[in-house]
Amino acid sequence: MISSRTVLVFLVGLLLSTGCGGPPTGPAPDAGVGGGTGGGSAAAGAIVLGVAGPMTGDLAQVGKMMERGAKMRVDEVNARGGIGGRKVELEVGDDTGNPKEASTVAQKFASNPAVMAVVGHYNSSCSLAGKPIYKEAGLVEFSSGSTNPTVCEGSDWTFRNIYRDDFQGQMLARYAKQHMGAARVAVFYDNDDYGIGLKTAFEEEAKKIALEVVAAQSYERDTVDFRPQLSTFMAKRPDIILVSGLFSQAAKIASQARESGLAVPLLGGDGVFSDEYIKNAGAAAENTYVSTPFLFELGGERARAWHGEFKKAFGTEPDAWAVLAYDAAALLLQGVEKGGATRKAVRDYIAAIDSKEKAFAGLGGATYFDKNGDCLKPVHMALVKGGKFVPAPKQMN
Amino acid sequence: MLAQILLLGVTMGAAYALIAVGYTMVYGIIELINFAHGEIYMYGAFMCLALTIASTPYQAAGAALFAGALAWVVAFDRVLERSGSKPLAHGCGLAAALALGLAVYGGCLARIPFPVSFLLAVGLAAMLGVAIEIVAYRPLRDSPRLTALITAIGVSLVLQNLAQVIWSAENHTFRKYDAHPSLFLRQNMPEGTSFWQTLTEGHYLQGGPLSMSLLQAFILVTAFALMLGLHLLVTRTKLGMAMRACAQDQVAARLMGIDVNRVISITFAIGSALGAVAGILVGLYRDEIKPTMGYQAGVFAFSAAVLGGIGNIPGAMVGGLVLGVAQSLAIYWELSEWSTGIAYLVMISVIILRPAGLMGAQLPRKS
Repeated sequence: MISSRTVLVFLVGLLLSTGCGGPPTGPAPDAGVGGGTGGGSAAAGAIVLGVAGPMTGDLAQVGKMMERGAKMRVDEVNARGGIGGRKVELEVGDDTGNPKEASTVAQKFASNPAVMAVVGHYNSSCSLAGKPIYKEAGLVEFSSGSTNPTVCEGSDWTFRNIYRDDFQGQMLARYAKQHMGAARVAVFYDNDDYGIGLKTAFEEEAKKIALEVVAAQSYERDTVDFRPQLSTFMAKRPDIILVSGLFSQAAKIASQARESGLAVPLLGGDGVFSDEYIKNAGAAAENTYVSTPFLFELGGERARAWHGEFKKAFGTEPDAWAVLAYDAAALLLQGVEKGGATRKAVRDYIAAIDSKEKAFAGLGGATYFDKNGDCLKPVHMALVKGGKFVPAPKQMN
Repeated sequence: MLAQILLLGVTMGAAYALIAVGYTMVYGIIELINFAHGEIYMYGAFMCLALTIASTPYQAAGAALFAGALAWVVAFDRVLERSGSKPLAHGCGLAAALALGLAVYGGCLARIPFPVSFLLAVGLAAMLGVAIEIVAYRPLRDSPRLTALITAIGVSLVLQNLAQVIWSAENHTFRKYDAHPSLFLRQNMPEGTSFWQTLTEGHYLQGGPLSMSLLQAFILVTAFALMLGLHLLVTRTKLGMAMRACAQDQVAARLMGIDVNRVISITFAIGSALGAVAGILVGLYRDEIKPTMGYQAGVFAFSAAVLGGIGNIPGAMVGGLVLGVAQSLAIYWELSEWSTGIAYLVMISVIILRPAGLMGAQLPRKS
């Protein structure tokens, strides 16, 4: 009798500690909101542009790229004398890649009247979490990285300058079939809006083109050991492995696949497209194909020049996420300049860009929006070769 | 494939079992769930990492101060107990703190070969366990059980936050850095292969449908050897007898001439050392070391200890293995997202059927 009561007491203790011990997943609680530059108080009269993304934690690399991309544009505008004589300031919101934090960041931006528009968020789940708050406040949420099909639905205030996952998933499936010669695919997917959305689109297209999905396993963002899943994959003899998730887990999957002796090429969505992937997976990253919204090699003269300027300013090479955030900041600030310095004016200016003729010519290609706030953008394919991403020899077109 | 999955489950299960043993030993002797045990697991991994790879001077200083403080507490307590002289105890404590602090500082900056830093880290973690007992639990030994339990949770949080202050909240890995060339197993690998690659990619043991990396084999052998050793220590030695005596009745044990404080310290030291070994091995295996790693592993290992029958050492080993295997079977059935849930379900089912745990009934208990 004593022992069963004892066990009960300690199960209560366990619950207690679950309450106090901080979240079992994700980065530390104190790494939370509102870190970064800018602070709350904008200088009087300044125009504030928000940028929201994962500035700390596993995805910090992407957040930093977004921040720097947006900063490039803000600095350029300020060097020209600002907008109508007013200085532009960048305010950074750290959502840590976690939708709960994203809501807090959105609240913070919404309650600061100096904020004219927000570049962000990166994770689809974060953009979705912020959407109702931005809508309520009447503030433009302009994502340069969220690809879940539903991100822009149901709000006149959410836009993006990147393709949707239904399109990306379709392209990935076709690429696997046509250019990688795959007949059997094993799928890992992140159990969030991005991972599930992309995987669903991939599976739908795969069914149409007779590409067999032989296994699909989901994972949570805090998963670090993929060996058991990989050994179930091994028995199904896949030709390739699709990772419908983010680079931090993809790197672990790549190196553990290699460790388990599963030597098939990896295929990833744009969530895998970050230099951090190669840094973490090392040699195991070789022969990984990923889709991406932008490649400098295919971006023309203007993109190459910008690449040099970015490197001079920050000492690191930019990636696609810096480019898209730069474009987003450029478009939003153009909205402030030409449309007017109110939140509503910025939205109306952007919403009016609704045809090819009126398209905004960004570094990452021409951007114009449909009724939803979505846009059409091509999907490019990159390949890891010699420790870096290069354009894949065969592109979808 | 099933065999391979089970092997992976047993590997993680063995690691859980090593941690669970620490919970169960401490519970057996002072009836306290040492919630800080997960943090000891985490510190073992961090200390080994800090000594093996290049640390920043800030991290080295943090690790050194921390180690020095532990040495001071332990030395002070030991000397005071022996001699009863406060000035002497203070002197010895300060000298030990200074010596160990400097050694750790130098070791962090100079980088020590992995096998050596492994042993040093395990030693430091053992000292951490002893120090926690001296500072936080001993003064509360006669207080209500809940007081000690809450204290344990507090200690756990303090240590976790301290690790964040020293090493930041980021993930650390043995792989990112070009680790110090290890002393063994270099011959078959190409030039420039890192230590981590040597362990995980270089050497495979193949047997029929099964294959495992060197690291996996290392985890299995180490875990089972340590558990066997512990079992022999507890059942066959005089120290083990003393530990069992203290678990049954501390007053009677004291009357028999057993130094109860010393036996409790040794229990904490052994349990913590095993936890630290698990921390280092799992840190290598999962390629991820971070301040919050102890929390999850700790809760899971605690469940393993309860499953096996808390206070019962072989029970903790069995409990760890059962949970590890249950987790990997869930993945075999393509229920990845449920793997942890299924492990807990197994635990709850066992507790309902056998409230004392799988092997709980075998233990002679206090009444």
